[in-house]
Amino acid sequence: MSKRVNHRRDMILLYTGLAIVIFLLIFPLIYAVGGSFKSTEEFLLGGMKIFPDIWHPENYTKAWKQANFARYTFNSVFFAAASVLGIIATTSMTGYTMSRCDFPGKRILTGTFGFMMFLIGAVTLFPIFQLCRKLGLLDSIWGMVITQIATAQPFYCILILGYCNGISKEIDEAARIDGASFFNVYTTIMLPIMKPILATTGILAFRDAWNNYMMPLAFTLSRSELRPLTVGVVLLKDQGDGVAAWSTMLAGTVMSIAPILVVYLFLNRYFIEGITAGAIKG
Amino acid sequence: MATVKGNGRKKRLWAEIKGYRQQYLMMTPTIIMVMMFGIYPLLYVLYYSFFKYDGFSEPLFIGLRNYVRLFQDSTYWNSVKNTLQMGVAIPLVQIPCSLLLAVLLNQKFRGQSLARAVIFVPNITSTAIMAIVFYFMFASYNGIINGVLMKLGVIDRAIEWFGNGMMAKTVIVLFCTWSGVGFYMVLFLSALQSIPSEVYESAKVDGANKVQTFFGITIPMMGSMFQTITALCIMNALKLFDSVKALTNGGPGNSTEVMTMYIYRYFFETMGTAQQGYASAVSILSTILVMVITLVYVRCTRKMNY
Repeated sequence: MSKRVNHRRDMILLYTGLAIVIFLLIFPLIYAVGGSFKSTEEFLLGGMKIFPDIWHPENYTKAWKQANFARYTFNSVFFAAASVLGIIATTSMTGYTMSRCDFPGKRILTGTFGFMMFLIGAVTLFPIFQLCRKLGLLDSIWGMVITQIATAQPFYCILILGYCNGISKEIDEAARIDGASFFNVYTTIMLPIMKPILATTGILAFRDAWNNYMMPLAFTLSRSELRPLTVGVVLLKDQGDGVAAWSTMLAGTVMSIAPILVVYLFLNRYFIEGITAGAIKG
Repeated sequence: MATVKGNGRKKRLWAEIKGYRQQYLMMTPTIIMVMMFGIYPLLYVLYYSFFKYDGFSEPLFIGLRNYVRLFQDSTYWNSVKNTLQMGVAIPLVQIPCSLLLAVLLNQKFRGQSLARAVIFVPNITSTAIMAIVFYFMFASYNGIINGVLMKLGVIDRAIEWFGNGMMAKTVIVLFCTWSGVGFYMVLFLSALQSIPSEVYESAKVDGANKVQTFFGITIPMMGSMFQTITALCIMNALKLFDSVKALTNGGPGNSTEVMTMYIYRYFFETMGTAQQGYASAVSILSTILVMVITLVYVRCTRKMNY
């Protein structure tokens, strides 16, 4: 009997503790949403209020029209979507091949991948920037897209390699005996089996591209029309107009966080499984 | 004789490569991209670290002078000091928090997967964007943190969170904990779930209490996983950029400037008077520092591997 009571007390403690943690973790998001509907004057008053006295949805229309957020949003969507497609297409081929074949040079490739994950992003950014400039890629979003795809290769190749190692080789070997080429086996047999890891890859790659800040910041220093949302919003903070733009900025903040939250709402299983799988391999 | 043998080996290698023609073709996009965006930039940085170069005019070979300057550059070593402080402080807060949450969530209870999904939410939001929100929350005159603390009577005067380096660093650590705790919790959770439940059963039979079980069984059984996760945490803390850039931009003064920001600044922000040669030398040394610290940590904690 006493054990039962104990168990109940533990459960109450557990739920209370978790409730506090979850509140602290979600609070900044609620705060951003509340603040984005305040007038700048009310926001500057401070205090403990999260939600405004008078709601100002026009902060959003103002951000969308005046602060160029329509453009930023389009750039973010295009940049993220193109990066995801590119990453899935290239890393699924490489990951699968590395899992199945012992080709000459495999160890060099694996070693290079391992080393690249150590690198600080800022180190290789400038040479990449120069390279893109020489190739004429800085005049469009494509320079950022290709850089995003290229620098994501090590992580996702290894993620997919790990998943493919878990798929029985007998499946594709049987198809090879029937005369299908390696590439045909990949497209007709393996791709459908790899769907779960491709979904995970796509989602994690979307998150990375959507949230990337340093690379787009450097690439768009002199090209404001190519900026994605992250760069656009942070720039408002450092710009001279200072506090005048705070409510617009918070509206921009919510606009840039909302899409990824919606994606997460429906696909959170893939996020968490992907993180777990990636860590065990890495 | 030797050459014949060498030729034979070369031929065999060539035949082998030919046999994998289709496979190489499939990997071509990856290989080209890794060479252009991974290997080439590294060689570029290594090469120009020996030159005086501003990105436009003719590079001038100056030997090791960039490195000599680097060792005398107190601003750089200040950023190294800040980076190291972050590399210690962030894991010290993040690891216990996320481990505790993982242990809590490893229990069976209703809503367990929902709680896990919600705790993970900060990790999917943009670091740079959320750093701005934290900047507002900690604003000294109208931020909600000061508002709440004053209402509760904890403080009677507004705290200048970004007024000095110590405070600004505290905010950075808090922010990083907020954004990373869900990520490391998920990793720890998968490590915990790999421990067979029989081990716990026998510990219970032996009369071990919860704390004893945790330090005597849970941590050692996680072994290499625990080490990997903490190493990852340290490495991420050393590579910090987005959060510091958006939260403090290195300020006040340069009291929160970290290595990555220093590198970035010399490569990009001093346009016109940029010093790519010097920035390259900084890059090389910083990369070595990150690698050495991570490897030393892995070495020192090797005995935890079972």
